[in-house]
Amino acid sequence: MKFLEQVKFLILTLAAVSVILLLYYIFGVIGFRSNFSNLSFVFDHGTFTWVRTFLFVIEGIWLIGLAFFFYVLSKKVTTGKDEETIRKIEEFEPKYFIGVVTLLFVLFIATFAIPYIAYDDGMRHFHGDKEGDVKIYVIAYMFEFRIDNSTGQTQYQAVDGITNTGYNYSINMMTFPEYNFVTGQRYAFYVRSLDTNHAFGIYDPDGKLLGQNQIVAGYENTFYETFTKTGIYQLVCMEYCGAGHHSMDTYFIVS
Amino acid sequence: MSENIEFNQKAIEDAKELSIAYYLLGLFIISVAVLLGFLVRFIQTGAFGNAQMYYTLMTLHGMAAFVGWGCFVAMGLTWYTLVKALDSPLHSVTLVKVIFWIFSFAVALLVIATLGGNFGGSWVFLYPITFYGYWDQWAAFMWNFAVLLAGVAIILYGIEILLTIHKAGYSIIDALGFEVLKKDFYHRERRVPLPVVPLAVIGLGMIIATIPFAYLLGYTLLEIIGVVGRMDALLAKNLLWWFGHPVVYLILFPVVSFFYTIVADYAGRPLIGERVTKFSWMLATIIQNVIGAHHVYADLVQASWIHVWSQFGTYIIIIPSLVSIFSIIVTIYVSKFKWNVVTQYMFVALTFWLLAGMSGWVNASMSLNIYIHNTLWVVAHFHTMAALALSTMLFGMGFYILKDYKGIYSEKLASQTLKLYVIGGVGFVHMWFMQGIFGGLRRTYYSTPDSMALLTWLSLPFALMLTIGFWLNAYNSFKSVFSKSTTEINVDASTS
Repeated sequence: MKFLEQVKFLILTLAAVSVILLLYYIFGVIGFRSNFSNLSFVFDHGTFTWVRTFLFVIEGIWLIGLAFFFYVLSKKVTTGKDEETIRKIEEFEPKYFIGVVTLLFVLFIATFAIPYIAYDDGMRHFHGDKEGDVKIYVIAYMFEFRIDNSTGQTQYQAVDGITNTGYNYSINMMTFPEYNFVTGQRYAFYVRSLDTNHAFGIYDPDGKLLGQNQIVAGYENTFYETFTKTGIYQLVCMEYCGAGHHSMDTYFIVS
Repeated sequence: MSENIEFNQKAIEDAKELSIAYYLLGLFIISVAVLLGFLVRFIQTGAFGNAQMYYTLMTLHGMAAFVGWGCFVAMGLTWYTLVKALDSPLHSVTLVKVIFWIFSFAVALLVIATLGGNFGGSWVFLYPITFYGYWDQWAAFMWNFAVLLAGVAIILYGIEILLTIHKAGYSIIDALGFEVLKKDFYHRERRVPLPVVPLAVIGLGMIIATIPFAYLLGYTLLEIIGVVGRMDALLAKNLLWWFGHPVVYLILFPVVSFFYTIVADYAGRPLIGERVTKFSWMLATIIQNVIGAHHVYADLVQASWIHVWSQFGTYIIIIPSLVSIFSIIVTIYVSKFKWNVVTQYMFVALTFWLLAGMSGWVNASMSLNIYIHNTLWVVAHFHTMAALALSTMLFGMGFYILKDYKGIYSEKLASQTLKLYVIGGVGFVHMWFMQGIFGGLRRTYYSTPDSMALLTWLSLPFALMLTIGFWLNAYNSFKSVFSKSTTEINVDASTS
């Protein structure tokens, strides 16, 4: 049998098996649900921060660029230039190359060095401990966040390695809503995972993502934040961590 | 002499058949993957499904899409491009077929591991999630083993490319872009054909990228059967992204090679700016394997200098794209370019490639990344690149080969499908961009925060258009090869 005919046979077989498996899977695992989600729109819970505005500008350029290119496509621009013009373009290309390198270098400075130097408004999450920090020891596990009120030196042990749900967190633990955060105070969050990787993301009362840090299993991960607004903040796991990932969130109040 | 020409013509025909075989199976897999993508998006509205179903189908969707486009379509179309550009046969047709069957076997195992064993660790299955899921451990073992098999096939792919270039009498070092350093560059008797360069770069790159990742997979397999203990999770992440970023190039670089092939063919002249383009590929050779850590910008436990380097290196890897886009555009502009359905797809792909780069630049910059990491912005960027830019070019290259095989079953259908595909794709990814800008999380069973749900609903009609577009192109391609009436004349080819 020719190779292409073998492939045809393979595809037909795979198609039949896939349809059977998919139908079996869908009807074997679930039924339809009736609880439709909230259908409110996004603009009611967020403000236009400079980052969002900037990203919208990028999106705008994206769409305008798309429209421009399709216009060009519709015109099918080709000119059949003479060899002399082509030679000039060839000579221009190294200059274009240098221009690209220069542009990228300027963007590198603009997006890395300047925010880094601008300490508080820039990449503050990357900076280390400072005097006066309030240290918050956090443990994350499938699918909860808890604050550890002991010294943070406790060795946490998984009680049940099979279900991955039972942990020895009887020692001095509290939930985030129970802790009183205040504005103007710099907090140093020391976050550990008891199982797989998670991520620690905080949204302010306007729904703006303040920043995030991956919670790498086996490491003490730090996150620094000074809250400037009072209100209810959301703490969300931002890294996929299993079947309950979507429910791994909590809140805290800053007064 | 004539025997040699005949021999090479046969080699090209053989390579064409191999490429078409890869392309068709890839199209089938990607068509299923796209359907799964529609399903998981639908589940996110909250009207259908449950959490396990969402995460399992999300996992299969991601991996099937990668295997379909990357391992079958992009890699498969490589064979024809390589042989045609080199005017020399493949190093080993048998090896190319072995690679095909290894991938096919791996796909079967992936399907069983997910739909049979409920594996749902996501397509990146970030270590150690393998050990903390709702799935059976045999399924986790099978999944890791299947990916390891695919990794072996990817290494073989890289080896086959480099050996084919060597067999054609070219220096592999030259093919990696270093030829530009030769003083007699413009006076050389035989310069490496430009379409070969990105293929050589990815051939070497994937060998270097895959071996450490294969170590991670092998280690995970041993851990599942209890032979070894837990690996450092940060090391595992770096091993994953050491492979996980270059693997994007496994699709992108062949696509760039296809751009070079098609543009030169329809422009009737070589690409403008060969030396600068090859120089930028030389940079890519040097840098492509050492920037994957930009995927862990949000891992603040990682050493700071790696973050800084990753941003710097990522900016360098943008150069080949910007130079190639310039060369392609000016070559089209100055020539008497022939427009047809193939070049329509090519031009749309070029547009999306450029625009996907803009959202990618946001991801690549640490100070911006911290606001969009793990959000749907990243998903939107990735799909702009993969589902729009790369896919349209892969369809274009597929039609290019089919045109030269038995003809395209319906060029009109292909042209109309492109419009449907573009409208669906742009609408679809922009719902994600919007959600990402407002902090909407990725990889969550339901739209998070809840207020994102409306945009999820609005994206569905566009997702459906995209899905139908895929299926129509797949149908058109299958009919082109297997239909009994595959003698349709390429009208524009004969008139152009």
